[in-house]
Amino acid sequence: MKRVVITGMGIWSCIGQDLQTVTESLKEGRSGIGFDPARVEYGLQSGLAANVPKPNLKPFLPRAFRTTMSTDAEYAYMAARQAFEQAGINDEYLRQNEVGILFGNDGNGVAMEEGLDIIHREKNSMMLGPTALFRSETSSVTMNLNLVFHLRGINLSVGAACASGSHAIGIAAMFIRNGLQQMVLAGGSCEMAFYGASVADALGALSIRNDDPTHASRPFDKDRDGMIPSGGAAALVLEEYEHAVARGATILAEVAGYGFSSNGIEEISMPSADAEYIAMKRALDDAGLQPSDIDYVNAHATSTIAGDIEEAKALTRLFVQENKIINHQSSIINKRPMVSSTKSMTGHENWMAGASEAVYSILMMQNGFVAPNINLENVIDEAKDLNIVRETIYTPINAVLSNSSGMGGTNSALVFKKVGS
Amino acid sequence: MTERLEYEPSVLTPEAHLKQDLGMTSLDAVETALFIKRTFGFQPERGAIKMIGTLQELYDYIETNS
Repeated sequence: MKRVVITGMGIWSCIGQDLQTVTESLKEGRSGIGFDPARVEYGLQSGLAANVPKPNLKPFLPRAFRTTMSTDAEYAYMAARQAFEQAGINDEYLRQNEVGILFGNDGNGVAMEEGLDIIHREKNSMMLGPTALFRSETSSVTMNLNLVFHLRGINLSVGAACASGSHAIGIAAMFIRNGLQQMVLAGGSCEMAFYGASVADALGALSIRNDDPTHASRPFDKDRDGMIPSGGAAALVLEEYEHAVARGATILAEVAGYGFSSNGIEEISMPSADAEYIAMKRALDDAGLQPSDIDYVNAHATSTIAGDIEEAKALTRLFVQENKIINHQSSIINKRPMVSSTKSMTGHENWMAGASEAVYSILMMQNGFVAPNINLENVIDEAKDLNIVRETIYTPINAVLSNSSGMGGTNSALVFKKVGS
Repeated sequence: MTERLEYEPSVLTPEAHLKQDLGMTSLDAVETALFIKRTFGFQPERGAIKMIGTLQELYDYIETNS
């Protein structure tokens, strides 16, 4: 099996649109959440949303490329540009070598909403124009980016709800491990569609703390009342280790383990502690690591009532109850990893979350700190044994686990470590 | 409830507990809130249906609020 490393990263998020700004936001515990009255006018109870700016692609791409892009493809383009640049991959390399693309995405609402308005009003399909198809596909990101970057390897969008971005990275790593690809652009992207937020609002899954946006996302807190819709894109250049070394690339981290599971329970909206445990344990086993080897866990915790409880149970089982090492003096050591949910700052980046949280975790590992789980005042009982970080901690981080879970019953976990650690 | 949630009429007794006896899920609770809005014209508060115990209590809740 070949080793897989990350040589480039890019991000377009509500806490920054470049790696340096995002790093500072994470250190400062800066919230990217605001209140958008247009959402309430649209019919949502929750007017809360992440402040994700719309990128201007005009300086970078000709019109023909821009007109077929969904808004999340635009986000993904900006993130991918950064990732390739950091990896030292230029247009010439992309034209001469086969690079794949795997992105997490589970639906594009904006183009669909606009299209439905037009067809209902005009009763004429011609009025949809020539680009509606390419902007409304779930695969809009991978279809558009393959053109722009001349990608000719695996081209696949991964639909796995809010674990999409995480699975995309895990599956991309498998392609490289098995020698099928040398380099894959992997990531996740998510629009800020009103309709997408509405369906979660209908379930009562969104926070309605409308008068206090920056304190609304409260993972693991007793007073949490739901998630905040967010989006953007994160992109990572995954590369076969020897290939990266041979071309003199800077290695940011190793993709050491990937774990997955499906809930297999009867209620579609319910998370499962047992299944989340299996995914995380599998990722650790895949990486050949013990729970005590993990310095930091980036929790999925979205600030929903049921989700945070089930994840806290799974984390406690793996990182507290089953994390006991007996040292040479026969004493039991229980080295619990630091835990935080960066969704406390970003809101729930949905399809993008698994990929963006991989980027956030690797930035912490590179810069030697753990970002805080902001807005945590009274921890829920199920999480009381976890080492949840409330203020930024500056400390070396050598191995992290990023957990993801998708509503409907899919789970994914990734382990990243420093190369050589 | 027999039509929308496909309950057998025989199980719909006043003392039937929505969760324990009828197996009402969180999604069923949202569906019930939607049914109440459409049928009785008022919108239950978020999470209100999930807090209700028995069918009799649901009946009382609708009668009080409609």
